Amino acid sequence: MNQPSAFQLSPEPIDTSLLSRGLLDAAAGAFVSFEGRVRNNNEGRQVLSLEYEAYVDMAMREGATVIEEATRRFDLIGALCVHRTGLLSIGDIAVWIGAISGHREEAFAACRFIIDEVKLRVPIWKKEHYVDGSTDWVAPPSVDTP
Amino acid sequence: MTAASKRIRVEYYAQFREMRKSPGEDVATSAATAIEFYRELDARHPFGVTAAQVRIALNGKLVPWETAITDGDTVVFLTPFGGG
Repeated sequence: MNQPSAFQLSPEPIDTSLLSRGLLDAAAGAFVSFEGRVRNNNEGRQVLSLEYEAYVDMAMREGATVIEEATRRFDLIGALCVHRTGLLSIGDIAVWIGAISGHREEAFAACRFIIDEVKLRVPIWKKEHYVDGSTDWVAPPSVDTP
Repeated sequence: MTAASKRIRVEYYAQFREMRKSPGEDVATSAATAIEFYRELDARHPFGVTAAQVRIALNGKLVPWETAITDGDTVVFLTPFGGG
């Protein structure tokens, strides 16, 4: 399978079955996917909805690099990652990752690698809207800015 | 081209876009490096965040604050990412 740039930003809801069909390959014995979903709470606050905003040029380039690295590192047959932008509701898919490989270990490991690296390296910001009407731009507490 | 006539494109995202109430601006500057440029903008209209909380992308690539800026560069200030 010859996958072109496999990182996408989507202002529309993510169609997982369509993306899965893009990862069909006769040599793939394993398909592993990860969905990141919008949850209704964060650090003790009740979340109503959230927004994702991306620095598109850099995000597309960094995202594509992450997929390329994962493909090489885990000897994948293919991989895709789609991240939402815009306004999302509770339960919506924020990010979808799919990886196919000959055997399951590589596809499992690749999904973990891709989500961790995307969170770290791809310039996307999240603004949470809370039940009390307030909003906040949030980043994982583990993010370390040099 | 004199140093003072250097023009830099700044794009604002997320907190920076909200603080500036703008998606970006073209700025004339004599700053030699990214950190000088940041401090110059911050002095003009305080961003409310220190450079220690921010990283910088120069023409779409993450670079050290000491990196030289040149006429026509595009700069983006990056607060910690929140994707995923």
